[in-house]
Amino acid sequence: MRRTRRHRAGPRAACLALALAGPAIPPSGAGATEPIRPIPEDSELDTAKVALGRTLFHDPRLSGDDTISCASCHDLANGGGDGRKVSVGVEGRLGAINSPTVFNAGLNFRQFWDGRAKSLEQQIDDPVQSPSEMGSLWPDIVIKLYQDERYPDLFEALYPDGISRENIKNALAEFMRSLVTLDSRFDRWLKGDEDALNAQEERGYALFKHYGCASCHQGSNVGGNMFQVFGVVNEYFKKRGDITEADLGRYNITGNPADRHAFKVPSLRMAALTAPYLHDGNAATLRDAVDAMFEFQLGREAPDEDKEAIVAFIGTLVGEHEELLP
Amino acid sequence: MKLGALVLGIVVSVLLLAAAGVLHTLRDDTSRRHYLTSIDLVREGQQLSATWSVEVARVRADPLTDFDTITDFALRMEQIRSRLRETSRLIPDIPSRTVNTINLFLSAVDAKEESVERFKTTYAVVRNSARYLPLAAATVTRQAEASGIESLGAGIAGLTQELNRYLVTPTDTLKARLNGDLETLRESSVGYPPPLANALANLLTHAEILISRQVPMNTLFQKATSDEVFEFGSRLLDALEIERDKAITLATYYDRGFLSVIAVLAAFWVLLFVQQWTSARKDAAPAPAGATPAPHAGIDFGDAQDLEAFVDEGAARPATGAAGGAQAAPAPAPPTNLSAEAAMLHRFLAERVGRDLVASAEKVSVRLDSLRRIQRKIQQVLQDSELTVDLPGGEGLDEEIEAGAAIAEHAHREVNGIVSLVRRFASFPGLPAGDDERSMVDVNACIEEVIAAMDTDRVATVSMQLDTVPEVFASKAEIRLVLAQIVENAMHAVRGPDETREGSIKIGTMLRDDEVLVTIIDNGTGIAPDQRRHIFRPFYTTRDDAVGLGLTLAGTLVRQYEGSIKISSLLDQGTVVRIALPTGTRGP
Repeated sequence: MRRTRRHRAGPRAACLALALAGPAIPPSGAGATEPIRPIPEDSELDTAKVALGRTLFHDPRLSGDDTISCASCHDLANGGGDGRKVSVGVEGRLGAINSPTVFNAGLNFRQFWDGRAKSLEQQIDDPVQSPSEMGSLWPDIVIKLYQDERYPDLFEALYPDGISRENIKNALAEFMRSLVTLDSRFDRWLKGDEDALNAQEERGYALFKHYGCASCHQGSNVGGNMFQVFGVVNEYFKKRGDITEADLGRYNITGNPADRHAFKVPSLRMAALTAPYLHDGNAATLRDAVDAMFEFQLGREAPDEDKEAIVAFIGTLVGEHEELLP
Repeated sequence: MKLGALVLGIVVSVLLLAAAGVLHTLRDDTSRRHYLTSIDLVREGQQLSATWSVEVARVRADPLTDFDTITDFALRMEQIRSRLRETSRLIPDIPSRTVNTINLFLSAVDAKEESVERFKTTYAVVRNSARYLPLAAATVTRQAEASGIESLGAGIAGLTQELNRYLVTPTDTLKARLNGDLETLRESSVGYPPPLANALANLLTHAEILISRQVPMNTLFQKATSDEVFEFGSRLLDALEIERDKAITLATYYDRGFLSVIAVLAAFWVLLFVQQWTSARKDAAPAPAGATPAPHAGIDFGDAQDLEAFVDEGAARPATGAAGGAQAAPAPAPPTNLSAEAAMLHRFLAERVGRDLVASAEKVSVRLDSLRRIQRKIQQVLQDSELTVDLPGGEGLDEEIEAGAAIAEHAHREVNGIVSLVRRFASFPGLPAGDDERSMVDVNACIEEVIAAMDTDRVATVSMQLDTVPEVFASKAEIRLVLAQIVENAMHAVRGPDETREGSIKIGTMLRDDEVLVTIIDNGTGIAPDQRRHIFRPFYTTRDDAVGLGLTLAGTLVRQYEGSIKISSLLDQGTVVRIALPTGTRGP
């Protein structure tokens, strides 16, 4: 993760600061004191590597039986997820956890629900090699790619040592870093475009802060920068039952009892497009997910109209990307 | 530049460059560079940790801020951590003590990151409950009033008041009391209408969260903003700075050594050029016509008890000496444009070694012949007497003799091989014998030329007392070389440690019987008795700036003219060198 996030006061704040013309005025106005920031643009990407990564992302030869590509479970046109509770891997095997979107994944501070990977590069090993996902082996992939007509030249041009596990991962990660959704309606609103949100959406954002959703879902990725226990207030797993290993979350990594059922707080940026929700995919709609959050995380009750407003607000977080269907 | 000097120059240069190369390798400053980088990284880490703490504190003070910044710090810290780990691995011979200190520092960074992470998790919940609590309290109070349960409002007000106190100063007694209050309120809610019961339950849940998590959050905050990274960093900096200083000291020594060698190399070439230039000027002078050498020569050392007495006595005594090399020098080689010195050096080496080798080979041959004769005689006797002699080893005398003869034969062949190699070397076209054409030489003129060329005035007063002496039959260049060597040594001796004494070099010539005697007296440092017997040995020198061939060459040349050279010396008083050269007619 080499991305750095920057504070952006936004034009409105800048104007205010100029108007007041006082010394050392803390940034104020929308976009400055807000818990959510616009997504910053990353201009340091290597476009050739992004292009190569894009090809690899769609290449089923990365899987053991040449049937599944990254794109199989991360459908870019429809939001970067696959619409299933859990993904289907090689030979129809079911995964253990819901596939998150790849959009804005580079903005997450860790990868996977349990945060076991610290970088996009590091993260790739798991889905590629997991028997229930792509079920592949790196040496096989390297051999398969070398037998291709284009790959050897494409890699040679970008990496002195040609096709290798590290280089495949680097190209894929570079492509994923390019999957940043910019210019969402909410970001435009943060930057001062008051017409970007309608009244319900604006109210939804106010409620999002008021009810405390923004306690965890904050920052430029509206989540993805901390761990939180699922079931802070009420015990989700007791109610749902059938506790699986995946349900233990970060505890599987650290062994610390405090990390039982702790997960990376997911980004809400693409939430409107990536049903079903939660790590187990048990929330079919966004409204279901919001209900679950109110019940288990916030321990509060809210009227339907408030929840609908929040759902409407979450819809404004989706930005634009050429891979996305308009 | 003449070829001989060039060859010598190149050889010396190669040796010095090799030494410089070794020093250059040793002065490799990898360690120093990596220590410097590590120090920078640790400082950067300390700085980052401090700013990180400030940022964590800012986030804690703002209930509605994002965690992007404090998360970013972890990423930046991760970079420093991995760079520090990499850099420290690159340091050769890093002490394990330092590695441990680095690991302690990195552990402190890890601990901080972990604490910040857990702080975020706990704080998000606490700040949410803290924001919600007043709202929940207001809702409960309102609904209690609506339901006509007046007492509940006061109970809630008391609870929130105590809870606020607890959040500021969390004590165990307060916590126990708060938990008791919660229990009472929960029990009381049994009969309440559902909306009130729900609202109260929500309030109690969040109050409970606050009561149970405030202290852990404070602890995590303490850890997340602690000075541990700074403290372990300072300890590490101390350790790294010590190692860096060591590395710098070592590198400086090697640096100095390296520069010294380069300086010596440069000085050497300058001296070589100057010397070549002066000798080229001297060689321009024409040589007078020749004479024959006397048939008598040797090298002899005198031991003077008193310098003046020695000079008198030495002057009165004609030179005598053992006849070292009985043969005359081989025929001169064709004239050449090589320098006289180079040619002489070459010839000196070739002849001296070659002559000795040939002599040895001849001796071996003679002994071999004797051995052969003896063998035949013994075999004759044995055959005649039909006597069998058994040696302790079980083998017959016959075989022993045969084996000995074979070894001798082999040795003979080997020696002859070496002899022919030496002969070939002596006649090597690139190194002809040089300017040793003999002629009648005026020794006095040679002395004057040498003194004029040597710049003796810098170090000593030179006084000359030159009698009119007959010319000697010799190579002018060689005579000048011999004189120059002696004068140079004298100059070096008077330039010695005693700065108060004024240097003096006296040179005299006189005729004694049929020899020209040249006496060179200096009042310099002299030669210690234990050094005196070594001074003609090749490569023997007490000086840092000389190779140790000067006197060897001088001795050999003088002996070649059937002359003699005597050196007497008293430590710290001076040295007397007397050279006797036979006056000559042009050969027998």
